[in-house]
Amino acid sequence: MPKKFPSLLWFRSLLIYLCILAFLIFFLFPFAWMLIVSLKPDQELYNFASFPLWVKNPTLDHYRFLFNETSLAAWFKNSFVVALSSTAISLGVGILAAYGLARIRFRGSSGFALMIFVTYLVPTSLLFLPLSTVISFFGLANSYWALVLTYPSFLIPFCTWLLLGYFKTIPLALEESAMIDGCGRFQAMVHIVLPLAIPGIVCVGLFAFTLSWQEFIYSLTFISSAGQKTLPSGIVTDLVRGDVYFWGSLMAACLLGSIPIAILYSLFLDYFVTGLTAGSVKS
Amino acid sequence: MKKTALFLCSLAAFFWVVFAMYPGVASAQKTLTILTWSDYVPAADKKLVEQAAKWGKANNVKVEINFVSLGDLPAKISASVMSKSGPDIVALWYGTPHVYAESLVDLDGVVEDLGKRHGGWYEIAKSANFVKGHWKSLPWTYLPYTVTYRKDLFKQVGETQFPDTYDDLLRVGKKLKEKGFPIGMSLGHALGDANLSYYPIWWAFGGKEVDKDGRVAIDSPETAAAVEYVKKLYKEAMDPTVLSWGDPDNNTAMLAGKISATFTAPSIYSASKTKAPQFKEHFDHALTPKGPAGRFGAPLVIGLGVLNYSKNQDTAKKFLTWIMEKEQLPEWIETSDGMHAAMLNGYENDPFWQKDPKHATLPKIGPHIRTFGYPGPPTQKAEEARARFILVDMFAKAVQGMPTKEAIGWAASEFRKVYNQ
Amino acid sequence: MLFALASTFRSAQARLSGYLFVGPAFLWLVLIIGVPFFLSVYLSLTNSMAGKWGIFTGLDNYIKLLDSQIFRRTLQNSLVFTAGSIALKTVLGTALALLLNEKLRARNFFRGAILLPWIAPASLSTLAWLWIFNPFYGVANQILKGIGLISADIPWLSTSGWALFSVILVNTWRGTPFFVISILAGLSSVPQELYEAARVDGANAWKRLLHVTLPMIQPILLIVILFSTIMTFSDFQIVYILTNGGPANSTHLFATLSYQTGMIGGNIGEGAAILLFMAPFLALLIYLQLRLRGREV
Repeated sequence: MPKKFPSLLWFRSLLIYLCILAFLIFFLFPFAWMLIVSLKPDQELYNFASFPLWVKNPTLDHYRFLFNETSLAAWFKNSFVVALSSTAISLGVGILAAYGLARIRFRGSSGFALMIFVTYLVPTSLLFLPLSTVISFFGLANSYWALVLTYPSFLIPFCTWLLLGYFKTIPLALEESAMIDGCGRFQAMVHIVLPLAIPGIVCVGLFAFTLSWQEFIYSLTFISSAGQKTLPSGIVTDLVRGDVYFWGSLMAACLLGSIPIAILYSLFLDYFVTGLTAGSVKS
Repeated sequence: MKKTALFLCSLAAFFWVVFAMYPGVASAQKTLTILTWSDYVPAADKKLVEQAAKWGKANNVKVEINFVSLGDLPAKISASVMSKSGPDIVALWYGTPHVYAESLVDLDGVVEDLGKRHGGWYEIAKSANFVKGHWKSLPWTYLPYTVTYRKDLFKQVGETQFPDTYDDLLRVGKKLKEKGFPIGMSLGHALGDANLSYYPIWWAFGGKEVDKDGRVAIDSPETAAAVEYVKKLYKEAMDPTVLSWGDPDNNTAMLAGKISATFTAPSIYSASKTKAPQFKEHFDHALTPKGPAGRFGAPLVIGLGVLNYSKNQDTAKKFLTWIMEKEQLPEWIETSDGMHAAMLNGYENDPFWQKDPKHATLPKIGPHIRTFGYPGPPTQKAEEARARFILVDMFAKAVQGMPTKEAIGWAASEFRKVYNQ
Repeated sequence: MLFALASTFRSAQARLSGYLFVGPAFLWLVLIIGVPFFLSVYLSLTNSMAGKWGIFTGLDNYIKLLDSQIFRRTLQNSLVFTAGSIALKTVLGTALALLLNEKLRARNFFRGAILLPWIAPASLSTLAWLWIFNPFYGVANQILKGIGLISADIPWLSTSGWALFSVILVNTWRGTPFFVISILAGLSSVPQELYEAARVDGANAWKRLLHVTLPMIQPILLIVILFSTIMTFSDFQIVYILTNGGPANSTHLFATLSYQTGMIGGNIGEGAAILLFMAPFLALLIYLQLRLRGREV
């Protein structure tokens, strides 16, 4: 930047910060609002006279209601179990598939890569209806299986695609020398590549976990008992007791439902961003 | 060392997940599973569980009740019917016994016996639950969908009673809106309120869904009269935001003191005791007004059906009979604080309704209730048309400016598609 | 001779192991994506209802849909919703990416903070917006009136026009961070020398943006736009929670209409047909993505 006009420079910086601040307010306001509403007692919440952005007498009543009168704890557990299981399965299957594609030349490998790419882009809202028919037919509706079997349908392509890009960056030399020493393909993968690939795998696994946590339409369609729902669909459908929205608790639940992933990704932010962009830029 | 630790941890996690996914070991005791809706009055659900446990203990049966929100009920029932496994008893709303008739067990014995011993069933009980010569579900209860209004606001504009005709409602509503207290019934895609408010209005003006040959008959001068009326009502008496209202919004509006009246199940008065105590004594109930073709009520009826894949059909039948008896049903109705009523003549004058004078009107709507599809029987097609909000959208389009004829033409075309005509 | 034999054996072994490695993924996807897709096609050609399999009725469902104003409106909504959201996300995303590309203090914090809308489960954050847009207690109207920008309440969800705008707004709010992060990555890979060269040639900031920056990020921008178009077009949660398709079907998208028809109304055949209308659009978008990637690789 030319240092001709330092005051202009300062003004320019200020402008930039202000614009970013405006964006930040836009992006973060709903979350701040969730927090505020979750702490506001009903009298203030439904009172037009009170200033909306401030809480005069913060209360934990809404949180108490959430934990005592609703299945929030069950929803957390369900989301967690489903996300963990589907991520584990998808990572396992994805690692195998990505490794196979990255290292082994076989007929149909480009066709398979194409298939992975295409299924990566197929949205879940295209398939929920026929899948619900299949799930109901096999009596799996309303169970963990309904989700654990279907979530990998979008997690596996995702994991495979990202891991493929990642494996390609690991030099072949190490495996080759191991295989010359008599090591099999699979062992080479497990003992040589996987340890090296742990950062990438962790990153992809976290990604997959958050994708699974956020999933809504399959959970809404396949699961209808309160105790079996995952967090997103449970909060949306069960905290509206027919005729009345419990807004305080609803916002508290939304906040609690968003926190785990927020924490996760804040711990691994750099991994997250590189992984996110690696998928889009590199491959 | 680290590797083995990691391996053991993941193994443990794996097993924990696997075990978490399997339900507990089945007990040797017989289990009766019931699927019903999450009541608008949570106390009623608690009472039901209490009663079920009592019966279960006396009969050595474990009764499991699953509550799902109203919107989830159809999906759950369909899933169970399709996989031929699931709950033994399900709650069936509106005219859905007709939709699932083939999968339901005949309950003729139970229902006729109860009818005989408790003074006979309402007309609506039969039309919703009696399919092709058999009782396919037990008429459990109905929610008196009526008017909840603010007596004090109506008094301010010189009315001591809630208007009994739709024309009167328009006149009074105009005065109220001018004072800043309009009325409001959802014209959006609210799962319950939208259809429940406007079908009775349409019927009251003589609107018919099908003629006696079963052909769609919505395009008629009577429907035009209803549309013209609702257009005026929206413009002169209603809160304009009703187009975005979901089910909870009219309750919210009443409890906030923003509107003066709405059509609803009587949960507002109940909720006001804690959420808006300043309005509690001002709330009162009234029957939905009369139109040129009479007075009509909305079919918020619930039946209990037994699925034919159930292995506990006799146990189920016994339970169904039991909960309708004098010792159980009135107690449950009382806990619901006016939200539930029975469709048996014998319970109409139950002392509960007299305890609080504001409840007195509620059971009187019973005889006026008709099902979706009226004047035809409630069929799967009628239910489908309801689920698509065709009637509600007809009114919604009209109030937003579409000419009456065009709106009706649109609705007729959509109805015909559903009916395959 | 022995060597040739050994190598064919090895390549056959390689092929087999290749299939073994990708086998599980292949099977899973065929079963959970392929089979339901074909089932969808089959169902759309029948009159299946919830709970009972129907009989073959040919293209009846499709003809009915094309004839239905509700469906045609849904098609229109989808196009407006997708075009509007993508346009907004592209412009805002690029703008913010350019801003964040400057040498700033706490740059990492900003980057992390703006990702929150994209990370939080969409259904939950949409609920917050539902409350913000509430006609009685919504803080949006309260704040706007408070600072004097408007005098009458905005009917965020109560009129057809505003409702569509509101769902576009929420989608933009949710999706822009993804654009920002991806474009930022693209920006960081633009070599400084290009800027220097442009400056030497006398180009001012605006010209540099137009002739150096934008062309350099065009590949990543296109990829992100295509990807986001697919996701936006098939969106479900935002409309389902904010308006359920109303008022009067002015915000219905394919996914929400299909849900209403199939899951609530019980008409599975027609619900499947609605979804399949999405397929050609999606196929086109996927094909375009493929071409783009092919060009890169």
